[in-house]
Amino acid sequence: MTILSSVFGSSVGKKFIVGITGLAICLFVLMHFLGNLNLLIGKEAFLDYAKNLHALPGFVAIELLFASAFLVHIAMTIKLIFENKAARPVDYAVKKSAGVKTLGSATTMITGIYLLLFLVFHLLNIKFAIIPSIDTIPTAIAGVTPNVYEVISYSFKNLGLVLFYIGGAVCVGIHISHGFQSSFQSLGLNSPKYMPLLRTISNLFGVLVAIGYTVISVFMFIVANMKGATL
Amino acid sequence: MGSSTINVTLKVWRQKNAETKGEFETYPINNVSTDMSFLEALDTVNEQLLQQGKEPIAFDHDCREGICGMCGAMVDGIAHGPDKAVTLCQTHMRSFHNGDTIVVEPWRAKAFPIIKDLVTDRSAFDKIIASGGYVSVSTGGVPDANAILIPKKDADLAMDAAACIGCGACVASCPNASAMLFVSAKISHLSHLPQGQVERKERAKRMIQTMDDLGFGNCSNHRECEAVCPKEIKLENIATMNREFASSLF
Ligand code: FES
Repeated sequence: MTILSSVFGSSVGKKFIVGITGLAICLFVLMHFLGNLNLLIGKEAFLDYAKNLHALPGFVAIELLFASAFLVHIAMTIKLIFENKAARPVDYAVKKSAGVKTLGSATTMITGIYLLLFLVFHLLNIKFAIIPSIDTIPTAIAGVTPNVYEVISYSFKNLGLVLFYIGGAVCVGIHISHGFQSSFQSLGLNSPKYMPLLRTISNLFGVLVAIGYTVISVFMFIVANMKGATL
Repeated sequence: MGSSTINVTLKVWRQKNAETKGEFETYPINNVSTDMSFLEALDTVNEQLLQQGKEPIAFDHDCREGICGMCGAMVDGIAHGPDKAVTLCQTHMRSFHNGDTIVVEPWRAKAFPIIKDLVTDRSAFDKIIASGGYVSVSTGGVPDANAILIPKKDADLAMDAAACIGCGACVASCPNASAMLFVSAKISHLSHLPQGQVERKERAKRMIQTMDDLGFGNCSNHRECEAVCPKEIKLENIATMNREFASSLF
């Protein structure tokens, strides 16, 4: 058996895969968040950042790497959900947590499903500018291809969309609060001495991205709806 | 502590055999001494049932001292009941209140099919042990203490892991019915000792493979197993097992 088939074919190996891809996604979420902070500074800053980011050497390769981390993480966790369901075909009539349940650990599946829907929408919304159609953006109507800032501020006029984004922010924070520390345990990097610290870092990380992305979403909603907002 | 008596109602899962569908039956019991163990309370119900000519509740037990790992049931949704670090036989009625209704269910997992009422078939654990939970170096007669020097830290880690009595509460309480706490305790117990080195890699591979084949779920680090374990087996063992698995790949 090759190493790859032993890893993919084993419950412990699958933990590794979910853990490694999860950590890669954590890194992505953090970088994406730091980059998006430029939105708070303004249009010029954000467009500059976007330009520099895309000009990075190997940008496409890195993007593909992160995209595959997302795909593998999603595919593997969906597989695990079904396997785990099959491992307990009859549920308990009464089941309680013995006191260690956290918001993150209890809701990984729910936040995960939300995030999957969110991810698909977010890509169609900003990356590919398909929903809403890019042609409906004022600059496009005027005959100029809208830039990414215009795509964002046009979309963020819509309160429903902003609420969906805030939901995404909260879910990613909660998901990370369990996932980040959990990845270390899965990869065997666990010591009784550092685990409490790691749990705290994990929770802070979750709170940071949840609040941070919410602030950005609300800020963009206000900016986009201000009278005379430049689109 | 003075003993007193309480009245409780037990709602117990009754199931004739693996094929039939089970259901809950309700049994009020009065004047239960708070000094009684939970299994003694079940005995009381069974005496009543026998007097009425009815089938007593089947449940596993042996030592009733918390050392053999035979007993166990979900009591009000928690494996081995509300008390920390005890088996069901060491759970006492003083942990409950007068007027309580207590729901009692068997371990539920595909790999632990129900035999009858609260009795489940846990031979899956035996199969996992048979697949690698042994050492094949001849250890001869009882060696002198300290004939084989083992660092204190390793001896302690091995001893802590060896405390596992294989009751199955970890599987029962895991939201995914995963057996990783049990398997990791066995793997890490032997991997910390010199006698366990010979089969170290093969052991990790085989025991994990057998666990997977038997239909246990996947651990997603909920830590419920550690919280209910009567022997307080630590989650670090799972991290150790994960490392053992990684090194067995190469
Ligand atoms: S009967 Fe032996 S541990 Fe409970």
